[in-house]
Amino acid sequence: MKSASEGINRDLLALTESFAEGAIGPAEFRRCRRELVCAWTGEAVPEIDQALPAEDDTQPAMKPVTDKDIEAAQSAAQTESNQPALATAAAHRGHWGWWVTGLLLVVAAGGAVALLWFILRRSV
Amino acid sequence: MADWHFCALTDQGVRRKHNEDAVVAVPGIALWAVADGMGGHEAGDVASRMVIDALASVKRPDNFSLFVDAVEAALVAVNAAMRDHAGKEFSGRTMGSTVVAMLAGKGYGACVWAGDSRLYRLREGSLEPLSRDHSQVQRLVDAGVLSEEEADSHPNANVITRAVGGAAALVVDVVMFDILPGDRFLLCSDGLYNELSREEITQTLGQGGVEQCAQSLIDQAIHHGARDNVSVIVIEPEAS
Repeated sequence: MKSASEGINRDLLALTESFAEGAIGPAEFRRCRRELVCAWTGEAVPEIDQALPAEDDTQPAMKPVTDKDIEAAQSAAQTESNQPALATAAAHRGHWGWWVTGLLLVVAAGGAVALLWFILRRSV
Repeated sequence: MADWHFCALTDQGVRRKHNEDAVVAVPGIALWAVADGMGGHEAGDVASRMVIDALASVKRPDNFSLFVDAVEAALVAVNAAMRDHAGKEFSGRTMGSTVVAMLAGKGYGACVWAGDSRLYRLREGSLEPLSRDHSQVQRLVDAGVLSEEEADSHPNANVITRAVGGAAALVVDVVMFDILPGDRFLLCSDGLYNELSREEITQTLGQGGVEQCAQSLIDQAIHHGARDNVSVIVIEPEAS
């Protein structure tokens, strides 16, 4: 590692060592490395949104999401969305019950009136 | 991007029953790599294969610094996958791999590595190591306790301090170098440089075409007893 690259390589190795020791974070480490490499190659430093979405975007403090978590969330959502449907079905059943009961009462009352009229007419 | 002549070879050597080394050449994106697996049969060979497969699937962005990022991201991902695999399949047994990769651009290149596989550049008859081993012995060399020559024959020369799969967080080193017409590059596992002296590597690397050169390096390692697997990739830019 001599000649023209000696300076940049000293900087790159020192930068990596800082990252390995936790002195700088991954986002800053990669940004600095891109700047060093681009200074060497003569290319423009890429915009951050061009850069690869690496573990920089990860939030280590967040609880990791597993397959079981996803299944549990889906199951809970399904049960929740089913509850109003079940309640509505029960309400429909209630309305129909009243209608049928009323209809039966009307039919029974009509029958009783017809029977009474038939008996009274024969006895007269 | 320049066109390249290259030859990649790997051999299990004389004493080993299995080859735990692996090599990859992806000339379309100017990427070459050697991986030296650790952990024995069905661990070391799987480890080096995982590294090589990950590198073979890297996509090259236009910007070279993003290419470096992409190679690093692939190695970080395979580090996690390897540790997961080792935990499930080998219940804590050591499984890991060194890696040294050469990435090339227009007149320049980058070396990305973890462990003690090496990248050399031969320029005008002079052999220059571009990577620096992640090993206990290299630390002693850096501290001025050992010379480079003493390091080669040190009993702890094979004790490495970094590898893919070696720790939960993988940190790879990156260095840049320039590429001139007539340069020749050698990626190799420790099975080569532990058998051949620097003078022998220098002499052989400077002779013949890349195919003849790579085969000659392997043949010499075997002639010396090849106690370990031996892998080499010889690369040179095509003369324009």
